[in-house]
Amino acid sequence: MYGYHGYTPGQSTTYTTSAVAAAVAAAYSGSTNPPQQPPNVFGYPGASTFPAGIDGNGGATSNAYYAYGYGAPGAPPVPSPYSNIGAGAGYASLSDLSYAAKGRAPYGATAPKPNPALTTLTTANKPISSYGSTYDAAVYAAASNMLNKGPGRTFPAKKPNPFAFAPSNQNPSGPPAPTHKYGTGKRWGIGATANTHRDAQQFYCEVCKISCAGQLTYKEHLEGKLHKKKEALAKGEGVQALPRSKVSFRCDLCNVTCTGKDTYDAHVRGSKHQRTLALCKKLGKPIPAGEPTIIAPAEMGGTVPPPVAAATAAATTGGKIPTIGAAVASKKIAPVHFIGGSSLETTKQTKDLEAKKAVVAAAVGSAGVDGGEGEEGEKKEVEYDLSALLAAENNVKPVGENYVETERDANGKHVTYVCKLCDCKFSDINAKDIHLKGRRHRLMYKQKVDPSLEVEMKPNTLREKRAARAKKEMGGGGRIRGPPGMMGPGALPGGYMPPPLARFAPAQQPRPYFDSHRYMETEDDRHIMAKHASLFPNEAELKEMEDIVQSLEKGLKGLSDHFETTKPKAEDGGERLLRGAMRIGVLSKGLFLKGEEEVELVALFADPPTKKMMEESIEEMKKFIEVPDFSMEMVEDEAAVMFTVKDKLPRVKLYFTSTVLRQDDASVIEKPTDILREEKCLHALAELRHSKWFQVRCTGLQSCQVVLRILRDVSRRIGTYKKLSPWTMELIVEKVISSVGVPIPVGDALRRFFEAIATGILFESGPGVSDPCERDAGNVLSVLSPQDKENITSSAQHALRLMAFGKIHKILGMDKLAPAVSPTSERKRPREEENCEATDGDAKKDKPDDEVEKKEGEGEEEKTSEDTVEKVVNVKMETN
Amino acid sequence: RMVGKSGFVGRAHPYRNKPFPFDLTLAQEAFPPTKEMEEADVKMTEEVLAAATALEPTDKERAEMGEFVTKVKQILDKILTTTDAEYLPAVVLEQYVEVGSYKKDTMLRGHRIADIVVVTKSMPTFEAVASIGQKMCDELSDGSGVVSMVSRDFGLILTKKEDKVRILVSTQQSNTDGLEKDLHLPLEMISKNQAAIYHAKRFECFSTTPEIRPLIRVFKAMRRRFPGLEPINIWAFESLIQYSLITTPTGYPLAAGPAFKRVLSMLSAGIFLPGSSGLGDPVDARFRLCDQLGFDEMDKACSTAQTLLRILCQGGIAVLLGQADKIPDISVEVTELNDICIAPLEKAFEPEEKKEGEEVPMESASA
Repeated sequence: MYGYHGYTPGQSTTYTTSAVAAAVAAAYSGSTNPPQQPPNVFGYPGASTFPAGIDGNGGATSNAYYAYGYGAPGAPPVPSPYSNIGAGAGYASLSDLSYAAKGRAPYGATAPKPNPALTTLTTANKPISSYGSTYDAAVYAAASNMLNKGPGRTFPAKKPNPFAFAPSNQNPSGPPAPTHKYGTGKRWGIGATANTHRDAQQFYCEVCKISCAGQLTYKEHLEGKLHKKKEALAKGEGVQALPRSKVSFRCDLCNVTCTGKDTYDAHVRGSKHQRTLALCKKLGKPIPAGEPTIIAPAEMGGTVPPPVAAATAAATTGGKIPTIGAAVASKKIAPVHFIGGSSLETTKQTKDLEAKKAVVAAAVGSAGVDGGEGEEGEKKEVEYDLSALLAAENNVKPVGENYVETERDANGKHVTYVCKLCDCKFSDINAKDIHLKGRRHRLMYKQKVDPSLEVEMKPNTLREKRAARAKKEMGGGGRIRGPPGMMGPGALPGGYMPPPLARFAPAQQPRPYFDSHRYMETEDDRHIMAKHASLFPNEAELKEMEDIVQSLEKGLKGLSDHFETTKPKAEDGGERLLRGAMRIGVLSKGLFLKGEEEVELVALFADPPTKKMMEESIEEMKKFIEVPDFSMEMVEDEAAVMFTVKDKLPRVKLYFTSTVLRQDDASVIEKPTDILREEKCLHALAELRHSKWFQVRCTGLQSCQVVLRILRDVSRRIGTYKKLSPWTMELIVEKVISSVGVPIPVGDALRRFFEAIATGILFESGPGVSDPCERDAGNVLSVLSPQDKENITSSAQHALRLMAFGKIHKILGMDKLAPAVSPTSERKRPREEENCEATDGDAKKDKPDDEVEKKEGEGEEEKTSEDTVEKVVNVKMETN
Repeated sequence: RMVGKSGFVGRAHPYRNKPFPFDLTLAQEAFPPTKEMEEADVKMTEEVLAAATALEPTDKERAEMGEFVTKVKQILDKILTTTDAEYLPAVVLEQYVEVGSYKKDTMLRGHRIADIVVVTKSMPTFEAVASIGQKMCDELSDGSGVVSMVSRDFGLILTKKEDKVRILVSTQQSNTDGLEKDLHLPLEMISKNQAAIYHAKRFECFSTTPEIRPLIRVFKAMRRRFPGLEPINIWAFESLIQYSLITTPTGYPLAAGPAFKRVLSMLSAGIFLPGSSGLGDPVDARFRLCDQLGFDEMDKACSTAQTLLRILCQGGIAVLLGQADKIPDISVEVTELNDICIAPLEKAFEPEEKKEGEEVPMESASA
């Protein structure tokens, strides 16, 4: 943390925003973060807030669209008293780690002051990139290892080894041998291995492929539910459901059907499979080939075959009698596959899975067309389908691996994988892999990260049923429903007098009405997102901005080094004079819009910044900046330096400030005579705190950033809203959205903002908005004049009604979008397709022209109405 | 007109899944109330209650009305219980129920009308209704004064001096299928009268919060004073007031002052606008209170409430309660309070556009 991280104990965590952002970026973006970016030195929250700019895949706008889902899913927007910025320590440690992970030299040469709280946190939140366990963890692990092993040697083991006491099992009627008598039991175990084999065989259940420790256990097992179920399956009584449109893989050894290759692999790696395998080997049972049996999907006629060995066992032994000595001599027997209901015998064992798949495909092809009487074409089709399915199975690549974080518990032993997208945890690496390929995860990825990802449709029986029912009703057509209304004239006769349902039915607050899977985009959402796409900077613009900012940051780094060598260090801390530089305002909050003219940076000094210092800094920085044609001017009124690159936007305003100015004893410290304007320095410090607050509260809040970008644009266009400062706007929007308690879509979020203003929260008589980043927590609304409050409120009230009556485009300053084609009408029904084909050519020609005309017409009309709106607003402003 | 313009038929209501509008009282965690707010609330409560007291009917009014209503009820009892077929031929009553502001005790001063719903077993023909009225007039006219009767489509009005009793006619559910135009009372009216019974019954539960009656009186008076609020019917107001009073984070009902402001806030936040979750009808959860409003009425009611709220927030409670010297026409005039101009709001809904919106689906359907 560049050495400025312990300067004052109370505030050490407050000024780390950009570092946090870098940490977040590092944690989230992984490989997508280009290495040349120096995220650590002057961390820019690129990946977390501007995903489009960083990872190149997908359109910039569409990616940005989903940016609001990013945030920190681990930190839900729990409304808490806004007493302090809070959670500072945790974030500080995070940034610490990111820097450790990158292996960069700290910016300041001095080592960070040791902070016990931070060290403990460090071990707890180890990120993926720094795997090596810390010393503490290692010691702890070693100690616990010792403890675990120790008693094992000296005291009797609590768990008896089933094999170890095999002799007693041969006499089931006798009392069970007390375990402790045998001491450690290990020696007995060794001695008893000779017996183990026989017992295992004796109490071996063919159906379930397990061996039991004794007669009693074996009997219990036979009466158990699990065994009964498997037995029924083996006899072909119960039919196992198969996925309808997916290939299944079956482990013949364990009689387990898996729905995917991954699940199968996980099973094979799993302990249960290994145990069964070992047991079968030991007993000399037939071991089927290593490859899975492939079963065609249910809709292609695939069924679960009866388990191979169980079938034979059932035939020979009836399944209930222990098969003593029924071991088959040959260990390698070619497996018999039952596929698609018809038996197919592979005469030679196919080692190659791919080859086998082809065979299966062919077999299913023949099975699917009912005994081969179907035509050749049909057969081929089925064959093609299956191979396509198999290919699809192989093609499902895991996505969003970098959103899975590895967490270790305190002693560094136990690993948990946390999927940030789906908010779920795994303790098993196999489970993680499967999850990454899973449909739910892919859907979340599509929704939150990359909308271009294709996620296969789940065959929805419910939808089909509903469609069928709708069709039936359409066909019937006899039932005409009356209009609603309490007891309207056309109401159903039976329901004429409704029962007095004595209940209010308002949607109570934290009701999960926003189901991201089923949510249908409203017209408001569509308009907002279209507008948002036009506001969001494109990749080139982002890169240009990034280049400009980075060149200045390079200059600052050079400056810091320069001060390090020239200025004498202060006696107490030995800190650098230039402690660091951070991005603030739109840059750190990710609210950067297209055509932004100015972005802001803060240079944080150890001493109060002076004019002399600023002049020296400008001269020094110029040496390090490599961009051609730039200028640096001092803006003394603002306590800032304006950095401009010729013919390029944005300009960068670099504030000079120092935390010394905000300390409790700020009045006591001696101030140089040529000190820069103090209020501006304090303002820059406040901006730093705001950025930090924003990172914590807003980045993870659904819809928050989108709404803020939209509102920034609104206040650019409409003078009334200019009075509402960005910081006030951010505070209100955050409160308004987080007070819902559940994630809400953008349309509702924007509407809720207008609703809140419309209910008069701005007025003197309202609750006010306290500033969470100030010690005295003053009301940020007090800067507004009563008439301003009145104007903003009435404007919001009008905006709310405009939104309610479907005129959101007037608020957004855009043309009304053509109504969305509903997905149901877009989908062609198979029969319609046949009819359409004949006239398709004509229809295609006609349609686009019509649409274009219509759009143009609408555009003109809307423009005129928009003009009137603007006029009205202007008039209003004048009258006021 | 009972059919909601914004009503949706047969499907799940599209607004059921919408979030409830922003409600400051329920968002106290994000916007904690200040001390000044609490003080202002106490003051406002006093003012609202004082205004409500001034709106209560006088004792004389109450006594005279009570006397008249009791007599009418006696006659109705007689019709119900009599075994004499000739007493009132061709009319069989099932029951009668007192409804309306007289029953609820929310009458305004000078509004001397009581309502009684009569549920008939026989068919509600105009003749039957008229014969009930005639019988009433005959029985009630005695030395104390003459009772006159006027037939209306909802039933009839009995008048005795200044006092009026409206006899609203409803009928058994089994009769509703056989209703014929021009012969029987319209179904629309019958169902409205029937709804009045439910409202009256439901109101008994409402009245557990004592603040509700003063608030209803205040809002009734405001509804008369500011015509923009008229589209919202009394029942919707009563339900909204009840909701505002009892739905609090603590579970304790609000005082009259904050509840008064909250009702206006909820209206301003668009609880009766399209696209909002709205408030369910307490007597029939299938419908919302705003379903019967047209879009233009929704817009008008909402903008009126919004302007009133701004006037209230700028310290103009006297204007709202009718105590100011001059009550401005807030829909067009700019109100000036404490050097602040409170401008009227413009319309957001224009009916022409709605026609366009209707055409589009028709086109697509024919294509």
